[in-house]
Amino acid sequence: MSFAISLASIFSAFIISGIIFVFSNVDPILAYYNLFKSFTNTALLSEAVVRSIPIMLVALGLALAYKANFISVGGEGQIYVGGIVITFLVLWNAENRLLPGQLFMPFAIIIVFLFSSVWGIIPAFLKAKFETNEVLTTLMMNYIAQIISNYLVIGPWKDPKGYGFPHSPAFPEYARFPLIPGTTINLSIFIGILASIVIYIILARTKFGFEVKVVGDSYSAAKYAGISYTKVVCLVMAISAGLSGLAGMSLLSGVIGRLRPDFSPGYGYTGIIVAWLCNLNPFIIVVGSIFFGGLLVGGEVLQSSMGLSVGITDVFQALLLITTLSGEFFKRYRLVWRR
Amino acid sequence: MNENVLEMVDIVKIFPGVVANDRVNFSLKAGEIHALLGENGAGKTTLMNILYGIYKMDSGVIKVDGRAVSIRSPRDAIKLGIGMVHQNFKLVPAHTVVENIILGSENNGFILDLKKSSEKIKNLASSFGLKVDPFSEVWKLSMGERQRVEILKLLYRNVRIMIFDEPTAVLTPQEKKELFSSLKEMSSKGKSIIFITHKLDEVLEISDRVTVLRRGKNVATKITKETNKFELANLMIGRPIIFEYSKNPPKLSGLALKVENVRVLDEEGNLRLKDVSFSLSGGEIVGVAGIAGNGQRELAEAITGLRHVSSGKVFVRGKDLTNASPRRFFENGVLFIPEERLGVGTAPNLSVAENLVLKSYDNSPFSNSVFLKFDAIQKFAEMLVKDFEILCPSVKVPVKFLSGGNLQKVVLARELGNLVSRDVNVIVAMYPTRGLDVGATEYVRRLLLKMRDQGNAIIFFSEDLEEILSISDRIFVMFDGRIVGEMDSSKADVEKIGLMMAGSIAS
Ligand SMILES: Nc1ncnc2c1ncn2[C@@H]1O[C@H](COP(=O)(O)OP(=O)(O)O)[C@@H](O)[C@H]1O
Ligand SMILES: [Mg+2]
Repeated sequence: MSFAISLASIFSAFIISGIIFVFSNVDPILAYYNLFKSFTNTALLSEAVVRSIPIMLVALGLALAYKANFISVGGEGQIYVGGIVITFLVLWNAENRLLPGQLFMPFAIIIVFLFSSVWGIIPAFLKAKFETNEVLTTLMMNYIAQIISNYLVIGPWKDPKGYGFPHSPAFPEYARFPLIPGTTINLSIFIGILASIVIYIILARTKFGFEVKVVGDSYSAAKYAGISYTKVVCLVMAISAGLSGLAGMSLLSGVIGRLRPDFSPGYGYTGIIVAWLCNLNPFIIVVGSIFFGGLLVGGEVLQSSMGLSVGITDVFQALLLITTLSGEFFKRYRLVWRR
Repeated sequence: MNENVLEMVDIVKIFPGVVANDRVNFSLKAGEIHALLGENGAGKTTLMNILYGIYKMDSGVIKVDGRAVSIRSPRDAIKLGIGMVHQNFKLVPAHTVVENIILGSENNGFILDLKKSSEKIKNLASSFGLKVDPFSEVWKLSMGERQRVEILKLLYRNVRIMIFDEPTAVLTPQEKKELFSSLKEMSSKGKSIIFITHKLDEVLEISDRVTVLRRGKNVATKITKETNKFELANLMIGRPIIFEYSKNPPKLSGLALKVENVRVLDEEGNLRLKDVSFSLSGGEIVGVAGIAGNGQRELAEAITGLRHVSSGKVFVRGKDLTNASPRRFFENGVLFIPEERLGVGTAPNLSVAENLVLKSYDNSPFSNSVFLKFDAIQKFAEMLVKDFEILCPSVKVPVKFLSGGNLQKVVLARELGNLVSRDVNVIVAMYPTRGLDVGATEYVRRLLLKMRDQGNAIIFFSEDLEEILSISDRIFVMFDGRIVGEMDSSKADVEKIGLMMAGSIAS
């Protein structure tokens, strides 16, 4: 049932976007044909998977937080934190040469995860201790992280050999995720797949997952049962933010190759849509992220092939968010038709 | 007078795993008060939700004035003159009484005439004895007043068949008296009333006829004057019921709980418990009487670790547990049956099995250091479901689908089914039988007595003086954050307890 509703949400978003196409004097059928062509073309499909990696990592983490009824919208900021940390590590190792190349990435993955976790624990702790609203705190922290990241690229971390362009020096080869041969897909996809399995196991099989479900279902019941709310939300947000931090790292080490201003095109927010659209199910999130990656790529194809505005995929995403949230309503209530 | 205004014939309603109504027949005469009696989960609410168009029946026929009708929504029901006052009121708190009453009514023109409507409401209110200020906002009203608003809503829509789903559950004794006189007034003016309850005394007091449901089937329809409490109880539960509890004299073992000068502040910093001291031995059961809001909740929470004690001490079997965590209290054998069964005592969307291990999931055999062991959990849950006679389609259904009595049994089974300390446990129970039907109430009381006979120390809070008198060994009376009276139940004097509860005297 809820799967059908998710499909209906997507379908409605297509219909409404179609209407918008018509008003922009674009043939919607042709537009969608071009959009979905990206799923049949191997090069474009490979590109869709590339885009899906950060979305997937963010959405998986958010799904866990949402299961604990912690409504984080902090994925975007955590992506920037991850980006800052990996860039710091690259610059640090370039100077000190303490880590041999082969050890750098495993070490970096752990450090990025840990620092992003700390960033994520802040709003969790504030909520647990002072009942601050997590939607507001996580949202505000997004701006903080993005501004710090942008400050660093135009300030202290600006590439001295960059002809004044605002970006960091390029990452050395050992700080890049290798590509799967014959594709543009980098190996961080396996972090995403591993994360989906781990999140699934946590929720379905572990004591901690049980605590998450109790806390998410009823704060009072959790307190009565002796489950520490503070522990659960802090851990949940540590994992959630850690994964989003890795999303930032995967963008820089996997795709961009250096720190740039505003390097995430809103993947942290796309992750929110994907998490809900996929019913917080870790496996469906993997598929849903690839679908979304495809939409992003397809949107760009539309821009170039049909001269549509850059905003069109944003409009579509926004519509999808609206239809998904309306879908949540229909999951709870049944509609009765009357004469 | 003898014409049936309503007939429900062979009504069947099946929910996944339960037949909530199994070929139920029900008829209603003009101007009669017809009680629908049954234990929790018997299917009373379901039957009435079908009549009111909220649920769709799987088969059956509904006739109004002898004509078969199809009722697909509350709107259809209202058009046929059928209205319902639900167990949980459906009012908009920020709106005034008038606004709530006319909201959604089809009698309004396009432009609201609040003045004219309020006149009509005032007339209805005075002719049926339903005192309420039409311009007050609903959130300011007591439960009894809100109920009157719901009734006025129906009268305003010219409803002639009125359904009341357990209307007395939320009322004070005084409000209940007023409701009953309004009901009589309405029936004398030709309204037909369906009165749902699980309380035998209410059936005998108010109804003309009574239909008894048991596990989805109707077992009998009786003329109230021609039946009695014992027959009705027998019909409702399916076996005779005893209203007295035979008790063995207490066999006291050592001191189980000692509370010394405990003070508790609420969120605003007001003193809620003022130097409460008492002790409790293994093998005794103490009932705490008092009007709700006189510190009972604070006391219960202070001795279970859920509330911070600002001064004083709590000892469990000699061990100082003042301000220890709820988990530590539980591990030391302090078991708590809270007031809210759904949302505190249980997590609503988690399954019966998950709720049964809510406090023990992280011990063996239910888990190792990381993973849950589902086989062990399921086996344990199935055992408790059997031992405690919990009625549920499977241990995997979310507990929110269970009836009140079965929900309480889930809480009891978890707390008492697998005693943490094989030694002496301290059992703290808040209003353990509130809202339960006769059968479940009897079950809970017997269980508490059995626990006492096994040597556990029990303290329970109740609003029902009869219950306190019938099962406790000692009685405390709470007023204004203090224990103002303490007596042996054999020497208890009801009148004196009543005065202590009101704060008029202290012992
Ligand atoms: N919406 C529902 N979904 C599933 N089961 C339900 C639902 N409503 C009631 N039931 C089940 O139907 C049975 C009858 O419930 P109900 O009519 O509420 O009983 P009563 O009002 O007599 O206490 C119970 O076993 C209850 O668990
Ligand atoms: Mg009911």
